Amino acid sequence: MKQNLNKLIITIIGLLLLIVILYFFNQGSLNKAGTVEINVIDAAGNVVIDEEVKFIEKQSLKDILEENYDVEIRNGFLVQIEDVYADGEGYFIKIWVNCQMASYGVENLYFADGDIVHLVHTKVDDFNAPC
Amino acid sequence: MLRVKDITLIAILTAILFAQEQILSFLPNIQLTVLLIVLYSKVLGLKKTIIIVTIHTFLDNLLMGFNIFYFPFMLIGWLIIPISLNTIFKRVNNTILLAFLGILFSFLYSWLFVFANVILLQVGFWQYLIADLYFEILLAASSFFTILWLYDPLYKLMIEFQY
Repeated sequence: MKQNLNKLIITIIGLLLLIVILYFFNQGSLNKAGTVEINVIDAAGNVVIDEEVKFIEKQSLKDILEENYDVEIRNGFLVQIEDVYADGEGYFIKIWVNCQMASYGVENLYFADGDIVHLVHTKVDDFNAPC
Repeated sequence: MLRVKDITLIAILTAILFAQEQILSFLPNIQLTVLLIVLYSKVLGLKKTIIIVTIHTFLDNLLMGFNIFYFPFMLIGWLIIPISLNTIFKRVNNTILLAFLGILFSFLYSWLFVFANVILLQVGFWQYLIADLYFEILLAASSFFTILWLYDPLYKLMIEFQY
């Protein structure tokens, strides 16, 4: 009985702590408005899009792309942007942010003002950086 | 020498470990893996848990598209649990303490992947660590709460079946 009460107290404290931590994670500098540079590179290595687009607070890459380009997102994966298409079998569109491979998918990727994004038609297992 | 009963149990418990991870894979880093490995380590001992963890890691890698580079990091990450619980933490049997150890095991497992990805993907160490921290916290929290509430009933259940 006492053990269960202790567990309950620890659970409540743990959940409160978790909520606070996750809240602060969602309050980062990546939620502000600004401009992001979008570069799209096709299968031949040609830069087909190179422009700056504006974004507002809490807009993900998916929101930014859908607002500015003709895109197709399938199961959270970007499969097409304008004429650059990769079906995910053998080739995919790899996302680079400031020349580092993105750690999140299009739906969960947020930016700071001045970030540079490369969307590169890439062969699976190709780890070459575009910059 | 393993008996037929042991081999059968290892197979069933490995299947449970593997299946729960696949079933919960739609949730980001929320799984019962740490709970089950802690449970197996305490009930079955070191040798059998090592076998279960090794088979599980192999199957997990096989399903993800076998990448030999991740395999040792993942294996070491999971093997830390039975090895430490049967050596330095052998006397720790209190559920609350085991739950806190679950947090430690979750972070150690996650940090091993930081090294793997820094080497393989050539991403920045701190950049990856910070990007991954959210998911590390989710794994640690799910391990903590599941051990806290499910360890005791599952332990009693396994002991009841003479394991």
